[in-house]
Formats: sequence, C-alpha cells, structure tokens
Amino acid sequence: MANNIEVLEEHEGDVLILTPVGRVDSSNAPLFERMIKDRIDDGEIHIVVDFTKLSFISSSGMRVLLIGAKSIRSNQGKLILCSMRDSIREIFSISGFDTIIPVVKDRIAAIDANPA
Amino acid sequence: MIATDFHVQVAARVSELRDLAAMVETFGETHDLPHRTIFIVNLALEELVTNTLVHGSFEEGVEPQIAIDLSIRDNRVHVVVESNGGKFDPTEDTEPDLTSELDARPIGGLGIHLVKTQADNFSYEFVDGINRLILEYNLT
Repeated sequence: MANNIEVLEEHEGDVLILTPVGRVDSSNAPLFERMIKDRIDDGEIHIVVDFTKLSFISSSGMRVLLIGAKSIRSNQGKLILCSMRDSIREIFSISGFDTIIPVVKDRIAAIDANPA
Repeated sequence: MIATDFHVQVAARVSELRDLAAMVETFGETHDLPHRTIFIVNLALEELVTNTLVHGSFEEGVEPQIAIDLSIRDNRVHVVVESNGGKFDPTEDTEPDLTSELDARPIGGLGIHLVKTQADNFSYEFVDGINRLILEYNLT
C-alpha cells in the first residue's frame, strides 16, 4: 500500500511552487509523479520544487523530478529545484542530476531563474 | 562506546520503509551518529528494499524478506542486508549514465550507484540462497 504524500502548493505570478513535506521514497513517489503530471497537464510550465520541508528523497523521488523536467522542457518550460539540505544536495551531485536540473540556493533565486 | 546492535527482519514491502527509517533514526540517535550518516544508511536501505522487490524472483507463496543488521565496529557503521528472491549481485551493475543532457538522460538505474558511491566499503556474497550485502561507513 502506498503511503501518502503532502505537497504544499503556491503561485508566485505564473510560477507554481511545490513544497513536498517529509519523505519522497518508493512508497509515495508514484503519487508525487501523478501530481506533477496533473499540474503539467493543467498547463503549468514554470515549476519550482522547494526542498525546505523535505528530509529525505530516494532515487524513486529523483526519477519523478527527471520525468517532470523532461516533460516541462518539451512544453518549453522550466523546472527549478531549491533549498536542499546538504545530504540531499550530495546525492543530486553524485547522480549528475544537478547538471541537468538547475538547483539554486533558495526560493527567491528559483523564481528569478524561472521567469514566466 | 557501548555496542547497541540492531537487528530487524521485515517483509520487503514499500509500506515498511517508514518504520525502517524510524528504526535507523533511533539507532543513529543512540550512537550519536552524524545526520549525513543516518541519511545515507536510510537511503541504502530504501534502495536495497526497492531493489529486492524490483529484481527479486519469488516463487508462489514465498514472500520477499529482508533482514537488516546495524552495528558499530571499529569506528564504522556496519550494515548487513540479507534478502531472498534469487541471486542479485549489485556489484556487477554497470555504471549508470551520469552525463547525458536532460532529453537523453535515461530514467532509472541510479539507486545502487548511490549506495555504492556513498559506502566506504561495499561487498556482496550469495550463500544458501540468500543475498548478503555488507556496507560500511567510516565515522571519522
């Protein structure tokens, strides 16, 4: 049985900011994937994922972000990640994800980097 | 340091991951481990449980099982993960693509790479039908 996922949603102008809370692992990554897909299908093309409230993410969650980034790119949009704690930043670096999905310091920088 | 070892055997189901994570947190707090070490041990267990479910082959009536031992030895966190489901040697895994551009980057194949990269020692054996992975993390 899948675990739930809590994701806070806000808009700053045309930028959608998603803040997942707690953990994204293989038990709830499919729900996170569905949510991002729904928002992209709704026409969101400037998306920021704010990691402030995320304590843990596994490769299942990273895979969701890669799928989302590819999908948004194909719609001429952009996915930006921000506010990662060091242990999460490390696995994005090891995996080389930070070279294909921009990771910035905080939400302000993320919105600046994702102009509508 | 007084050794407070930790052993758990659980059904390998994704719904068990939260409980496993909580137990790793408790182990980490008991031994006053750095946050990074707790995170990477948690990540390794998550990736290995998921791997057992994805790659394991189970005869009818055989439930995926995973047994985990955590201990501190010689200033290292020592993690033993045993699983059923047929031989799966992650040390034979090829390196994933870490450099292609976004559009060409394959989706998946990262989990074991993260586990191997973050462990200071990583070894595998297949004994009596059980996969046994031994991971060590230096505490310096």
